[in-house]
Amino acid sequence: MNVLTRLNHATAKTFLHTDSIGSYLEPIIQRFKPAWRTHWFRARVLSIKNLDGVVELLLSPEKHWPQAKAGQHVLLTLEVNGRLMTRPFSISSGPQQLSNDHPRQRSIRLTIKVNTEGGFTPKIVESVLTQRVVNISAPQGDFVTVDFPNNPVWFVAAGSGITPFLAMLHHLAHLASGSARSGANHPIHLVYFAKALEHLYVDELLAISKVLPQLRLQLLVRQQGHHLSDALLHCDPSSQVFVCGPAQFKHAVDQQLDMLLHPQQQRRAEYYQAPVVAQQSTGEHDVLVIQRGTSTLLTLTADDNLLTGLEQQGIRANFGCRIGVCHQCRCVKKSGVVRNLRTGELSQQGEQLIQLCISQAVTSLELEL
Amino acid sequence: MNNTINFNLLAEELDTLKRDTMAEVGRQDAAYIRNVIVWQRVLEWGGRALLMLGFIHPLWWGIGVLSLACAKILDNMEIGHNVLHGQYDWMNDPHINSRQFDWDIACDGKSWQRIHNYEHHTYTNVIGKDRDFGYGLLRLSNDFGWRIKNLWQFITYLNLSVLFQWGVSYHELAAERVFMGKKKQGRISRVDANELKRRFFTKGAKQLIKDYLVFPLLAGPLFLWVLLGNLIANLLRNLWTSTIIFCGHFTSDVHTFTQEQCENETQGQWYYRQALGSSNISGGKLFHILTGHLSFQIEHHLFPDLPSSRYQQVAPQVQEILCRHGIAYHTGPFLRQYIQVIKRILLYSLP
Ligand code: FES
Repeated sequence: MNVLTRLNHATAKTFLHTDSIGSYLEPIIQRFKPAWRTHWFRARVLSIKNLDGVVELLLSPEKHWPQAKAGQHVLLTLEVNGRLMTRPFSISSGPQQLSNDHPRQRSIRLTIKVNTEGGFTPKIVESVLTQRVVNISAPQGDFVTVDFPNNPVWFVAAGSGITPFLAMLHHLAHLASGSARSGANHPIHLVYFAKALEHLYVDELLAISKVLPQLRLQLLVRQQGHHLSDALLHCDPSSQVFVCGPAQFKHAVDQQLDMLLHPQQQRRAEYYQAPVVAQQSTGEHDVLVIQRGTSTLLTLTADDNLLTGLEQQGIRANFGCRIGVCHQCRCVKKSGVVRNLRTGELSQQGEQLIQLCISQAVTSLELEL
Repeated sequence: MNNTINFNLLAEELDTLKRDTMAEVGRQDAAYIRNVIVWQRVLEWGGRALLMLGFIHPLWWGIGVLSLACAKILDNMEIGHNVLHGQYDWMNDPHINSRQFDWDIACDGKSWQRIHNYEHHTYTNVIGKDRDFGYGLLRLSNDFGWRIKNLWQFITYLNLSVLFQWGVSYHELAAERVFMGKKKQGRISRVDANELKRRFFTKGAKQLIKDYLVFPLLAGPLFLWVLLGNLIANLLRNLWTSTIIFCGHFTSDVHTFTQEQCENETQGQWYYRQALGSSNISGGKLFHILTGHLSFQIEHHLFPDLPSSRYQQVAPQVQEILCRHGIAYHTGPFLRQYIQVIKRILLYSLP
């Protein structure tokens, strides 16, 4: 396999000027197999439902897509008006839908909160309607629970952060129904914050709680006076805690747990940055620079362009004109938002190529030089 | 610089045109460049296959040569040159972008980006800064003193055209005086000389081995047919690219600028210099594609990272804006432009 890959690279580099034979042929193969891309899996769109504020995508992955563990996420790539855009989303399907026993009948459910100001989510429907086939990565992440927990488990979710827990709960319910090991049934708590009437999949959760009697459901609304401190009150230090939601939510949960002397090693979190809307680019931002495999964490003031900023911190980046003409200073922005100084436009959150000399940090960034 | 022109207004109008056009860029442009890539692949492998059918009838071989030459031209001009400029970076495609792309030519893509994207496009036609003005070989204006070697510079020009890919690939090494000559004062090298040499030789060797050894060997008894076919295809590509590029900057009316003129240049003055430093070639759609839209040299120099798929669309508006500001827009049919180039080379070969 490794020899083959290397042979592939060597041949492609010498004769085709690309990094692999696949990437050389990609535009041709796409004629027959839409959205065929090297290093990505294809998935057919089975259905797309527009619940209010949320889009539910049902995807049928191709045969050799690896088995997912409950709680993992995939990267979803869509072509939005010619641009490839990629974002991570948790899988919320249960074990039956993901089982490798019938690879063709699998379905991946992604539940995506539509942020009207964001650059990606509002376009999902439009782009999926024209595409029907999208790209996904292999399932990834270690946000997974053990099959038979021997401590109490707390799932703490906010908003669309419920999705990985749905998968985990389906999985645990499936195990419980199929096994006689019910002796040490530690409680499973689900603390789920959302706006009033915006809790997702309530019916499904209730159905699960029938099979999983140790599940304690708390559907909470902050605006109605529910507090994290009350919800987590009985979380004792031996519990395994999983948190999923926006970054601020995760911080709030951490603070609570610290007060309860709950140890950090017993926590796992998956969180996302809330999208920035025309934020002022002042102040300082953390910039993680990856250069030839080594990464450096810097703090940059936001008023300079990134090129000057990096240079002042002793990072040598490629450059030429310094006025945005030559594209020599381009680098891969892995995540974060930058402002284009020539047009004033804000970039997407996800991965894209930027020109350092005409970009300014708006949020924390991850750059690959 | 010309004082009668309102440079701020000029900059504003051109900026707006660019912004509006960029806003329209999308699905259509992505489909366009992928389409050109598909054609390039088809022509390349169709061509290579036909080269081996020469024994049935030499005509097949002839078509094969043309097909392969076309593939190389598409690869270098419409795909390579434009992708390396970052015109399609917005697609976020892991293969079609200025970081990843490499092309079917002896010149290393990265070297090209330094010397062409940066030096030539930033300092277009600034004497002493833009080595593309005469390539350090030809005297094309009175800004340069006359030397005896200029007498036979027409021959030099023909040689350069025939070996164009090697000229392009040696360009940065010549500028850096890697093999001979004294380094120019004030020139800051970005890459060390040994690295330049290494890249020059590896990329060059790859090209030679591919076209003149491996593919002919694969053809077995047809070794010579294929070797010759590849040689001619490369030659045709060299002549074509060199000719088109010369027409873009060395027609009779193209201006040159001094280094003082462009100190503290504003965006408007920069646009002005780009417009006067370039000239277009009129022609049909297919012609434009085969020139990599360098037939829209003026538009390309004003907006080097606007996708080439948009040059035909913005050209009339650019022309209108420039004319309104009293800035000449040099364009003409191929033959007329080319004759001007030849005249210029001959004219300045004499003191
Ligand atoms: S340095 Fe030339 S585009 Fe940034």
